[in-house]
Amino acid sequence: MSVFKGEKPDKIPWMPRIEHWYNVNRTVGTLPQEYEGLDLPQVYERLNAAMRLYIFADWIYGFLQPPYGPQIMPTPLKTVSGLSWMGREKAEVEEVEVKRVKMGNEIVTEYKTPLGVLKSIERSSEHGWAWYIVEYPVKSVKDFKVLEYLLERTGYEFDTEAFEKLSSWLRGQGMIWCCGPRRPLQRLLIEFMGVERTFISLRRHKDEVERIMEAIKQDNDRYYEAIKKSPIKVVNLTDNLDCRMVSPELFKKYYLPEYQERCDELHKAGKYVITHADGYVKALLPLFKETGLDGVEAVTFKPAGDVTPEEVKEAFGDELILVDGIPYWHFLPEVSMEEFEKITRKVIRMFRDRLILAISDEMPPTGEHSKLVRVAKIVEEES
Amino acid sequence: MVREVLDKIKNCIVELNLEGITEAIKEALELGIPPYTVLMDGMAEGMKDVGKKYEAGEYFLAELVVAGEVMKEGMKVLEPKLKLQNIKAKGVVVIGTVKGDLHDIGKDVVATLLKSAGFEVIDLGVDVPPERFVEEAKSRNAHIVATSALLTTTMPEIGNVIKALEDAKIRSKVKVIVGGAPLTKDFAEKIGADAYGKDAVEGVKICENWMKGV
Repeated sequence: MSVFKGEKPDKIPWMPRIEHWYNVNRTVGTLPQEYEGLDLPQVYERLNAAMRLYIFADWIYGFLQPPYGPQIMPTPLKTVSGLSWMGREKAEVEEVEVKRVKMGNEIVTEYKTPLGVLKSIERSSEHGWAWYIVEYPVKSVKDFKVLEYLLERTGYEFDTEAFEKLSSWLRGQGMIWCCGPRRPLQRLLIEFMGVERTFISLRRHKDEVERIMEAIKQDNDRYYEAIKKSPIKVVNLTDNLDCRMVSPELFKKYYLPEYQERCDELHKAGKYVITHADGYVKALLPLFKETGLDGVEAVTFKPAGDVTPEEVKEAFGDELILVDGIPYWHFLPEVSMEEFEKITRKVIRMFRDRLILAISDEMPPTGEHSKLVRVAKIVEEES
Repeated sequence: MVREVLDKIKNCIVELNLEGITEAIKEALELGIPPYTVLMDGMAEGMKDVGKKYEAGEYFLAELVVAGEVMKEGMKVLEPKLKLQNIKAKGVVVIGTVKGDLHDIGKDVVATLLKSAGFEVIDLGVDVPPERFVEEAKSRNAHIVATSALLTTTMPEIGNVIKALEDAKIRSKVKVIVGGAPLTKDFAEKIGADAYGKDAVEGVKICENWMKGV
């Protein structure tokens, strides 16, 4: 937490996200032998790293939860009624019926309300550890009334007992951070309507789109209200920003005001705030300082991203923390250990006191374990 | 007068004028401008300028999508006239992001620009297995197969698509173009692709050049 407080840490925090790498390799039987039978906190301990364990409503990152898999750990943040971000069996709302059917590697979900039906289809990938939307629930602006109906009836609750159980599982090997819902326009783009439909609707039916965005914001307000009352210290606004999708013009109009409002609100509740920017970000770099954020996570340097470390440092200055930094690319076998060491040391030296070192964005399933091991040694040498 | 009206159509596309395109096209047709000329010298020129603005960082995906929508709106008026003239699409492109890869923004940009350049585009989405590329290329008599990969772990899948086209004995009937941030021209050559598009605009130019020879 020293980095967030603006203090010089004893050691550069090394908090990689390796859940996906661990889960996929464990599933296909290629986990390094020394990790057989170990859970994630134990693996992090061996790596001399700390876990950044993200919770969402109804989901803990790295765990499969229903309907994607069996319930292993109760989720600290829950949707108690209405539209669940990750899916619930029941909407707990009179006159709303939820039907969820798993068909092969797809899950079909229907929310039936008195105003209409929202249907979505998700498909699994990466041996069941990743899911993506193949059919968005909102097909046109005509469905906005159904979405609004569900959002108005959506409520959240923080379960302190479940949080303590999860903390016990972590055994001090990291921190639990929370992911919040995306900005309203981003939720339309990524969760509800898809890119093409959202942009065309925004052009053709601006008033209706802005109205549903207001309803989404109110849902977000309730979500963040639950987080504010929790012991969570770091909140990620989780926008998955990409400037190809979110131009500077759109960002200034539809994202910046809520960023400023949300950061102010969460800061007053004693939280630190970051966002997730895992796409192209060059055009948005000049705007990050205006957001009120404490840091930005997942910015990926070229060639996978569109920015250099120097450009990011110039944009962030001493105000913003870089969370992550080592490009995922460099963990792949195609990149030599020498190149890997070079970029890792460069990131550490360039961002040092404003750095939570990790992988931009996370460890890929085919990433080399030897490089994960090497980072802890580099951190020791550079600290 | 003809140039003035064609510029009006072009500007509707560039300025994302959804409301004005239909009238502009009707005006052109009433003037006796051939529908194909309206398409190529009006709308397609507009989309070229949109592509340039995208390359220059003035326009982003939202503008590309809306420009495509303006074009679609114009085509509602133009298409019946083009059918009378028996004008076909410039070519048929099957496009998708390869198996194991879920990135779609770049692929979507290319698909939008290809459509607006007059191609018929069959967008297979993401996580597309090689056999699906082959199936669609065969059934649609595709001229071009365009594959996108954004992860080094999925780049080899492009090779699998090319091999699947060979196994299906249609490799010689299609051109293969590849794109995606980690790809290079060298990689494209090694893997047996016909071309590498460093960005969406270049990719479309390559496809257009190929179809000139058809």
